[in-house]
Amino acid sequence: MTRSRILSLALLLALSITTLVGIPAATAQDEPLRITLVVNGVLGDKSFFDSAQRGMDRLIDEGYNVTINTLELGIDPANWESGLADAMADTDAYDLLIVGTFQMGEFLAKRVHLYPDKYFIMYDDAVRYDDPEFCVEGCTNVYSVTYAQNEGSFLAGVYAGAITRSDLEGINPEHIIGAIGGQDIPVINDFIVGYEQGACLVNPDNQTLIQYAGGWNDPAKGKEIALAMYEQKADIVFQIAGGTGVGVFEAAYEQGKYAIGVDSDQALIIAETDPDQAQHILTSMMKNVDNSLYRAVDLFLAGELPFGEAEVLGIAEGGVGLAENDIYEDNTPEWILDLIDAVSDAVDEGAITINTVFEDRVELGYNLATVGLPCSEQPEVDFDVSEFLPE
Amino acid sequence: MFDTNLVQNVLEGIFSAAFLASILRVTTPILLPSLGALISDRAGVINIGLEGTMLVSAFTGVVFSAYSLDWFGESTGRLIGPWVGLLMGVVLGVLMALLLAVFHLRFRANIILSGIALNILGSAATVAIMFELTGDRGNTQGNLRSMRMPFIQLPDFLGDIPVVSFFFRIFDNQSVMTWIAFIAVILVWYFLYRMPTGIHLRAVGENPEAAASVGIRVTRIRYLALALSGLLAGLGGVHMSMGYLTFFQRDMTSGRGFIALATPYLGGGHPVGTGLASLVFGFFDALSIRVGSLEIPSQLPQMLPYMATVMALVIYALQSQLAARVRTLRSAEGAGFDAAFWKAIRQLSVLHMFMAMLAVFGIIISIGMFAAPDGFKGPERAYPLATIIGAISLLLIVLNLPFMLKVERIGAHVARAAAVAILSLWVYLGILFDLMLYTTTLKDLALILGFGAGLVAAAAIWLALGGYYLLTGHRRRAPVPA
Repeated sequence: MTRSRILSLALLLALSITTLVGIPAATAQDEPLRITLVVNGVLGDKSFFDSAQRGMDRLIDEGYNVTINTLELGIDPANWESGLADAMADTDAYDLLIVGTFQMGEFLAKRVHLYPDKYFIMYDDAVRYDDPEFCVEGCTNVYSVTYAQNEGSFLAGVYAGAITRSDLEGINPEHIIGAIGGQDIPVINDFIVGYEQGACLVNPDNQTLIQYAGGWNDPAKGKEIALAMYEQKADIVFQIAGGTGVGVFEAAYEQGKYAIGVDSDQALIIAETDPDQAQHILTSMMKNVDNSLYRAVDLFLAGELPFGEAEVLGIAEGGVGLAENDIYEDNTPEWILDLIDAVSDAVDEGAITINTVFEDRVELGYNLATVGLPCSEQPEVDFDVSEFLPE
Repeated sequence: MFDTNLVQNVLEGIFSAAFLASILRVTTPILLPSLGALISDRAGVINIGLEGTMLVSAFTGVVFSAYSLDWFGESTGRLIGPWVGLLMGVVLGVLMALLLAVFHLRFRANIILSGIALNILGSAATVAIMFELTGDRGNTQGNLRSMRMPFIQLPDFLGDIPVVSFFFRIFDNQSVMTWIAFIAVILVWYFLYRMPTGIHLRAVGENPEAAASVGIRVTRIRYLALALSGLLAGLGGVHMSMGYLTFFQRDMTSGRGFIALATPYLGGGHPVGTGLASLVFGFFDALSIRVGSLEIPSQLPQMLPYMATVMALVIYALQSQLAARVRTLRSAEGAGFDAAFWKAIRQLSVLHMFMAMLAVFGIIISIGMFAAPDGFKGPERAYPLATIIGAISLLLIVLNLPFMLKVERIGAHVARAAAVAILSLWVYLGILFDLMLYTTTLKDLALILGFGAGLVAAAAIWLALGGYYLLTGHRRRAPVPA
């Protein structure tokens, strides 16, 4: 009797709290929404997956009526498919399952029809809704969110191109920049084509060194590749290689050159223990996975999440962008800050057609391109950089 | 064929002191555990757990160096922190290996299975403790301030002397651990071949029963061998997190502890051979990094180290067979055995095998170009070049094959063998010198000078490897009946 009274009191309390923070009334009396986040890797990568977890943590912090269960499948790709299948089959544990990356799209798509009363969010890749081989019943319970990494990387490219012609300490006269990808896969190449195009916008004679590390967890190799790039006269290197790329920052610091981080604001993380090294990470191309997942769950609770569809979040939607922290503000010359703002606005307004490697994104207003296009073969862009350049 | 500017940069990168310096850097974390694998292997108790041991040492080093700042204060901590980290890392490395020793030698567990368990333990325990200490499961960046082992600066005036300055740029500013690794090669050699304990150790590995029968304490020697392998792997691990990099990341050794298991075999079970085998791995690793920025399919450079491994293993297997044959002949022919002749034949046969193996590379590159012509600036440029590379490679294989299959032919048809060996070497050296000269001011004369020098060098190498001996009329002496 006392127990039930305490219970009802607690319930009442919970109700009033949740009402206060404005959770939609429909879910307030219900059981909490059970969310399973499946990570095909491990947390602690200081970028991509940590960002997804941050989005979940934010839901909890802001008092949403949800429970989060994060499953880490480990770094061995052989375990990813079975791990996801197990997580999906555990139907008592979740209402909404979130999983990301290009590698997992197919594994998810071919199973979702088995769980018609469950919901799924796919991030950083879209399931192939039209292909019955993958989406047997059209994947109508899957919402896909992808990021216009090519837009964000375009900004990073403009930034790198501007840095390599600036008079910052340690910059040589050659207009050479670098990019290190984890693997030669479409998502990474979508970063690279945008990056190259952006640099060409600033320097018509720009040269972009591109290299794939062939793995995501060998920082020593990342460092060695970066050292070779700096030696080939690159001034700034964009790391798109997860845990491998962390080694790039040490190389930049040792050589007195610069680096661009990826996915999360990597300078802020490193500044905690190594402020000198962080000074060489001028900015990071952020994929705001956290915001996108937070937004998706928020829409889901309101019953407004468009299942059976894929969304692409670009600069305008806050899906991607450069990290504008203190290091960025302090180290970047004034003219480059202005340039980045102007280019950002131009992309926002759709004045610049940006490269992509995804054929199905051409209809969104991107230009189909391949990695390694020299500046002379880049598409014409209606944007005048000359008014920003110094001298 | 490619953007000439980029090719020029890449070539300059390869033929530079900086490239040789990077080979040393890349080799160090392979060499140290390789020596550990060598010692344990020679004692007959191969330590499969090197990877896990390296991880534990790498992590321990970071933790202790970071905490020494708290324990000893900022200034003292900075001074002794790296060494505290090194010491504790190595101690933990030895403890890991002793754990394996206890399981195998005391409790008779299978050493391979125990070694695998040790690897899993190393990988998981480091992550678990890292999470406990920092709340992070990825790496220690942002949480622990790892310190760095010092770099060795050579005296500056060496950089001003011509020729010496080239070597100065290779060895200057290398981590102290790189120096330790190469000094360790000599120490391990001295230990195994000059010290009684080392000789006992090798005897235990060759035949434990025989060693026991002459009073060698087999188990004690094996404990020692495993402890030493843990010590060397520990040094390698500490180098990863406190020399090469300055943080610990989960599974950051990325298979170096496994590559280390292969190098002693490539090196013929000898410390110097192991050192050279590690350098071969380091060379191809570093090379794959240098050519990776060329606009060719990324898979091609990435497979270089693995191709090199296969190649080395094939040559090693062929040579072991040949060595066994020569041994049989030696015991059969007794005093009539022509040692000088067989030495020349063996050396020249390695040359033929090496030439054929390099040509296999050429075939693969050619297939790659046919399969993905877009990676090589389009079919109209890729196909002709691929045809030439493929044809020359095929020709070199066909020419060298007879001398690989039946090595006596090298001695029986000296002129033909000489022509094949020198022609093959000339092709490779000519290309190499041509590319080397291309990076200098002699760019226009590169082709003529390069291939000219290539021919001279090819002939010289052939003569030095035993061609001179065969050419001056030495035929295999008929065996004297015993």
